[in-house]
Amino acid sequence: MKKLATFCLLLLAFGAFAQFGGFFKNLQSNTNAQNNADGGNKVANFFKMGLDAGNVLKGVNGIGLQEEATIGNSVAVQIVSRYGGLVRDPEITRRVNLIGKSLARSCERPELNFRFGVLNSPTVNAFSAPGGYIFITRGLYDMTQSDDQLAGVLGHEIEHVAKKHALKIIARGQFLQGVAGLTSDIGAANGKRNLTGYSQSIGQLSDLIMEKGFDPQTEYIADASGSQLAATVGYAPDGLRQCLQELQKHETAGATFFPTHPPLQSRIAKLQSNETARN
Amino acid sequence: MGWRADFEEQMKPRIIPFLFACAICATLSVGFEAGNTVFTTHYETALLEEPQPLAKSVATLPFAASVNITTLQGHWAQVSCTNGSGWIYLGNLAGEKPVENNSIQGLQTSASATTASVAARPLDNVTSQYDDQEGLGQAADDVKWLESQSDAISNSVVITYLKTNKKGEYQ
Repeated sequence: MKKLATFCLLLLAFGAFAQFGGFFKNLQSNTNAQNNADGGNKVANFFKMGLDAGNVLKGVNGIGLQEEATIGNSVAVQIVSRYGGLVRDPEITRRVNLIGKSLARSCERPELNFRFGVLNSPTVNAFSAPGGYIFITRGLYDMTQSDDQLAGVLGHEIEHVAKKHALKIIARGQFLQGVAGLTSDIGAANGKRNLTGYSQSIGQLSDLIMEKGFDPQTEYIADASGSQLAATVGYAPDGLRQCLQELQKHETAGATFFPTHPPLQSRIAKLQSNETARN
Repeated sequence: MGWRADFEEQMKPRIIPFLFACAICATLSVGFEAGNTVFTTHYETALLEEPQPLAKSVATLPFAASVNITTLQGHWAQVSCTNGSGWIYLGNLAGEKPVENNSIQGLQTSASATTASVAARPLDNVTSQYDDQEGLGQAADDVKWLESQSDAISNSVVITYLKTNKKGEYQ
């Protein structure tokens, strides 16, 4: 009897191993297949990110607050330059900053000096830069219908900064310079030497933020945690979803909203799924 | 655009749900539940007698202090730690220990010895050289304008806004 029980346990264990083993094998196989496809290294990088977690942490922590603020300021200037300048309306800027700062003081990095601005562009998009610079376009600002929706959008961008999504990409060495090179360039530039390496790295980071965007998983995480942040502070937990659904009504074949983010439909579906899980 | 479409097509059936589930699990695992250990995120966090923003302070906890949640009530957590027990607004806590990080080029400054605005100030030499080199004068002026507008909204202005609109710890 005892032997039979032991055999059954071994069989179960083997079955479980076979199941999960097969799953991971398929996962690996899918990953390899994707690696052969255009841009598939993004998936590989995601897994690599997990394997290199220790190095990532060390790398990200190698960028101090002043360095982060310096990088963020230069990226912010690039964003403003490429998106038609800033809307210099004190009332609009005050509203965006009051809501944004209310959220930011409850995020994981309240020590950052968050600033919120509106870009003078009719496109519908939002961006964040290291150090706490957050921008939404005038097109998006005009389409948000309430403080709850605006808080949802700003919460998403705050979470990119709070979770150091852009800095982690630098730390993973996906840029020309990497952390060591970039911090050394900041040091050199501070001593008024050449800025070549720094400029190239800022250009690459700005391109990523404004043209390619983060990986879809990173965006979904920012959606989920940004909505949670808004809810903690007392805004509607579904403000971001409401905003995306409103945008979806106006989306046509020729006009894509949030082009640097995953498709609206999948973001909405995942937010709805989170809300169901919470309830 | 190509990689995103390919990614959606080929990986969505299996990897996205798996990764998303992992992300949700990770989020939930560091969430606020009785029995969890969490950490303060501000340089000074008041441990309060009651779950009210104006309640008497039992102790002041430093940055990244570890506390154990005993109960949850709305947006407040009752916690215990070496300094005693009391209440903390959830917005002042994080599931993961925050990292103190104010260094640059070997210059170390402790969190208690600096202020957020000093620690988070960009290096003017670098930013102005970069703006000049790239011909970004107008955009740099815009960012300076934004900084002045934004910095005028002080912490006390934000707290007044929270009180008036019943947000944050004033819900």
